[in-house]
Amino acid sequence: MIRLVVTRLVFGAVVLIALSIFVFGLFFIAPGDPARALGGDEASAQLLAQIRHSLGLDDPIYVQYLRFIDNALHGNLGFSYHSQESVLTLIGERIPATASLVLGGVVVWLLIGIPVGVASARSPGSARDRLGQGFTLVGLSFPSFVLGMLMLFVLYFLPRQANFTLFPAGGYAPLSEGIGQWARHLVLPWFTLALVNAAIYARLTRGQLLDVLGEDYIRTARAKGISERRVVYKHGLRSTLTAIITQLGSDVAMLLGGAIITEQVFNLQGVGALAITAVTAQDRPVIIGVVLLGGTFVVVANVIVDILYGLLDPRIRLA
Amino acid sequence: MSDALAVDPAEAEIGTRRVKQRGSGELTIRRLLRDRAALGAFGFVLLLIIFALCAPLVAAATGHGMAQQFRDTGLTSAGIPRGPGHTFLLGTDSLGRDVLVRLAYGARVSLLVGVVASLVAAAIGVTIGTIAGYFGGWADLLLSRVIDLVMSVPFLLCALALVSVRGPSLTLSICVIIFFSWTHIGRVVRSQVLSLRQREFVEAARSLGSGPVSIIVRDVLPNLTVPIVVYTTMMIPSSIVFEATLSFLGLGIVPPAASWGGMLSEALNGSLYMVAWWMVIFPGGILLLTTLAFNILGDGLRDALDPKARRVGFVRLTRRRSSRSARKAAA
Repeated sequence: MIRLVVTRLVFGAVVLIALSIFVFGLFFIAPGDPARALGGDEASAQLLAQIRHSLGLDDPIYVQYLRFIDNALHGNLGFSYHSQESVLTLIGERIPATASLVLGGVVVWLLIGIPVGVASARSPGSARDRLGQGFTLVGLSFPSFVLGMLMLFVLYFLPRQANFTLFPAGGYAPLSEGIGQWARHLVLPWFTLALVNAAIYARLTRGQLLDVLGEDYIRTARAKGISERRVVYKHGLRSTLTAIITQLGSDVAMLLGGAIITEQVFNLQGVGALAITAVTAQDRPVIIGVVLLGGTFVVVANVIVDILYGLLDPRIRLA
Repeated sequence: MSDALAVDPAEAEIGTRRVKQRGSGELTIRRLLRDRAALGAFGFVLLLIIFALCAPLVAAATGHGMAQQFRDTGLTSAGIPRGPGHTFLLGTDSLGRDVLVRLAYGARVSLLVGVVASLVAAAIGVTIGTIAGYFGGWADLLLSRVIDLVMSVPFLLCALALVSVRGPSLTLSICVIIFFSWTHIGRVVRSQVLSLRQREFVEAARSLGSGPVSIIVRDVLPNLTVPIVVYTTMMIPSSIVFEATLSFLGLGIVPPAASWGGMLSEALNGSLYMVAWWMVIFPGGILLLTTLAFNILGDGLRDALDPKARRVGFVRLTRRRSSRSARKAAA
């Protein structure tokens, strides 16, 4: 178990280092001269050299890289070119919106995906199974931004035309405005983020559960006279959980992408929206900050998932 | 046989009916033809390809260029896009451009990106997966770690960073999609090669003096045709959605070139789609239908090429049914 955790931690560190080299290299070899941008077009060669020196741009690449890492580790990700605010503060302000979106989205998709998969697996080939499979197929094919716009149209615009407001048009209401307001603003984004993944989880749960339900110990459980419900949920689903959690781990990276899209559709002022604005405005420190923090989040989540995996499945722990 | 003929003519007819030998290709096609959903999907994809190829014809027939703006005829006096009608069959967008013509040109982008990115990604994935699976040891360890690494990177964020530096373009979109899509098929191929490598026929080839390249090309890869074909087909819809997403976020195709994702983003801009539903329904609908069609086609191909995968479910079905009825009988 300890070995598993250590290997995973080392791998996580490697991912982060690779990501930081990628980001650093990307902006280092990028066209454009920061000194020229700061000094203006009329700056003399001497002034440019001075600016380069004060920014440390005349040091060798590896020195610059190590300094960049050192700063990042101390929580100093630089300042936005535009608002002059600290990147960390800027991102910090946006985290509640993104965290609410992502966590709620995960809950919604598990709550849809797993029951649909279980229902399908309990009676394979039935009408219910075919309905579940149809849901899976459509869900897998639905680009999330199309879904989001359709939901906005049907559940916001059409009711509003009938003078009847179901959901707000978008935006984020912090928890301080009350949990009802917060949830009302997030219901549509949650479903937008969740549907595609719910389909993946429904398919995964169905497949895994079908395999498990054919095992001997399930027959034993049935032979003992346990209710079918208990057989499926207690004995069957338990061993499909490992597969679901593995999938959850590999989906964390995708989740951030989904958050960017959903925030764009619903005008949620989260980290993803910040990144998009930064790209349009060429605000490099902000982009670097978002990529690095996003990467850290993914790595940490993956390590947690791996440890959970070990705790849930003794076979992994002992191996 | 002649006895049977005397006893029961019907049975005899079955007995004397000629057994026709069918190759696996013919069997696959027969299975596909029986799958109505897959046939429909295939038909849709064919229509889409024709639609994309005929984009200049569509433009010529309507007399509207792809990026041509009709601010006087295409917009109402209030500057709002016109709905579907005689001159503009599927309506116009915020700049008075013909939605139908732009859909056709967008189909070119989507299909091009989907097919090219999937083929290249599949080639990379198969190569790396084969090397990792066949040679094992250090090569496997290294390549598997690389796959893990690419899979655990938040790809949309990296695409964002890349685009902000290089500027959006079609080539960059395709490269980004390829870079983040080859891993899945790579993993599948690796594990398949790993088990094929142990098989007797590979050992036989090796003892006959075949080198690794010859074994991989002549013995291993032909046995992986089915997963490679199926996974490549399944990669097309995700590449198409990936491209549409990039364009939707303004990181893909550069306007005024048309792409479905870009059209949807224009519709979202200023909540224009609230008054102009056709700006969402048509690009959104065609995008959804396209991904749906490729997904159904992929499922159908898998069922047709690998009937074993399907039969497993049916065996389970009967087993479960019988155990249930047995319980009922006992009770």
